[in-house]
Amino acid sequence: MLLRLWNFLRGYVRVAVSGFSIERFINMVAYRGIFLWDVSRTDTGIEMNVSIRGFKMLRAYSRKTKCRTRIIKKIGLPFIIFRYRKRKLLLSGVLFFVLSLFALSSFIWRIDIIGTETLDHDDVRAFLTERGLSVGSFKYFIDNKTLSRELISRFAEIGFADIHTRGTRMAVLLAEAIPPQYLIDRQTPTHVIADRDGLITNITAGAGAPMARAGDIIQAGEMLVSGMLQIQSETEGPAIIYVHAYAEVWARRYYSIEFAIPLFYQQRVFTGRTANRHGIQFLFGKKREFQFPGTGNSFTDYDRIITRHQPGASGDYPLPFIWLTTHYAEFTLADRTRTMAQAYEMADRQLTTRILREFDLGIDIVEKRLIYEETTDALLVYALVITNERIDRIIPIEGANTWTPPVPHDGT
Amino acid sequence: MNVKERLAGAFSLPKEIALDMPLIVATGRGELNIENYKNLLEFSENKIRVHTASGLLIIEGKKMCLKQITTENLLITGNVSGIYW
Repeated sequence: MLLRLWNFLRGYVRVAVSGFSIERFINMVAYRGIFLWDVSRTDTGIEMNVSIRGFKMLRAYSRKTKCRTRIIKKIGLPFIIFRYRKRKLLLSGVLFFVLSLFALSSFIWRIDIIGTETLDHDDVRAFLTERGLSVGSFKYFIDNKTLSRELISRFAEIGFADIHTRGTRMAVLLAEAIPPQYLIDRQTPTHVIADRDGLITNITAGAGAPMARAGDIIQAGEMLVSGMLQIQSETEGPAIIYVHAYAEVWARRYYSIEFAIPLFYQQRVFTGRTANRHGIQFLFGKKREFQFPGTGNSFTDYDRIITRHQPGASGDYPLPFIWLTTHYAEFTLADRTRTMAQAYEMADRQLTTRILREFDLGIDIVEKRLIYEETTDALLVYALVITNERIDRIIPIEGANTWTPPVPHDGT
Repeated sequence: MNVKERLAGAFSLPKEIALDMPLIVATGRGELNIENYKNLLEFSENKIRVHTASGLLIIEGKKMCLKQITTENLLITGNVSGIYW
C-alpha cells in the first residue's frame, strides 16, 4: 500500500510490450535495476508498470530485442500537475483553503470542564477568562501547564487539574482534593467538648476525666471529658497533668420538620400546542445572537426550553457557532383536588425524602412522632424526629505543652 | 554433499548466500517469491520458467503474473498449481 502511494507520487506508466524475445527484454531491463511490477501476459505480448525514469531507459533495450513499447496509461502526480500547470488560480485557491483551515482550527471554540461536582463550573470559567483563556482564544497562546497549576492553587477544592487541547476543543479535567483533615496526634493534650446540644445517653471515655454523665442535658461548647487531671503525688504534693482525652459521647437530639400539603392545587396541563424558534449565536467577535424570524409566540402561559447545540466536524472540532432552538410549550392551569388519603400518602413520601436529604448516615433515628392536622383545604404535618448521635469533639488544650501518660484514677 | 556444502553447513552460513542457491518462498497457493535467480526464460499465464544456480525451475499455474521484478527477487502471484525442477 505504501509502495503504491510512493509510485503514485513519483509517477509511472503502464506499457504494452510486444515483439519477439519478450523474456529477454524483461531480463535485460530487470538486470539494469529498473523496477517492474504487475507484469501480466496478454494476447499480443505483456503489460507492465514502470516508473517514468525507468521508461526512459527502456527505449534502448526495446530496440535491441526488437520489441515495441507502447504507453497505454499514465498514472501519477507528475501527470496531474502537468495537466493543471496553467491553472494558477486553482493552485492559489487550494493553498488559501489549506491555510485558512489551519488558521481557523487554531482557535478554541469550546471549553469543556469535566470533573468536580461541588465546584461551580462558572467560577472556573470566570477564572480562566481572567487568565486569558476563553472561547475564541488563540490556542497556541495558552500555556496549559501554568494554567493547571494556577487552577490548583486558586481553588482549594481542586486537587488535580489538567488542561489539554484537541482540535478546537479544550478539555479541563479536574479532580477533587481530599480535604485536609485536621489530625490531632496522640501526643497533644486535648479536651473533649460537645459540638451540639443534646441529652447524653452514653459516654465511653478512652482517656481523661469525664465531666458529664448519662442523663445530663448538655449545651454546645460544654466540656464533656477533661484532659486536665489533678493528681496527688506522694513526693511533690498536688499537681496538674495533661492527657490526650478522647471519648465517644452519644446524645439524644430533637429536630422538627413542618410542612403542609394543600388539597386544592393547580397543575400544568400541556395543551399540546408548541412553537419553535431558531437562532444562531456566533462565537467570534461580539458573540452576537441572531434569531431567525419565526412563528410568533401567542400563548399566554407557556414553558420555554432553550436548547443549545454546537455542531462540529467530529467531536474534537466544534465550529464557532451555536444553534439555538427555543421551544415553547403552551399549558393551562387546571384546578385539581386531592383527597385526604392522597394527601397522607404524599406527606409520607415528602417526609422520607426530607429525612434522607437532611440527616447524615452516621445518625440513628430513634423515633419519629407525627402529628397531623386536617383542615378544610390542607393537611398540616408536624414531625418530630428524635435521633441518637455523637456530639463529641476533640480540641487541643491551649498552652499545655507537657504530656504524661494517663494515670489511673478514681474518678475525681 | 560436496565440499562446499559441507563447509557452508559447518559455519552455519545461509545456503543461498554461501552457495548461490535460490530461496523459494511460497505463501499459500497464490504467491511465490524466488530470491537469487539468474534469469527469466519463459513467461506466460500458465507457465513460468526460471533459471537458477540449482537448475531450471518450472512453475505451472493459471492467470499468473509477475508482481514484482528486481535483480534479486522475482515475485509471482496467481493460481500456482505446480513447482518443479
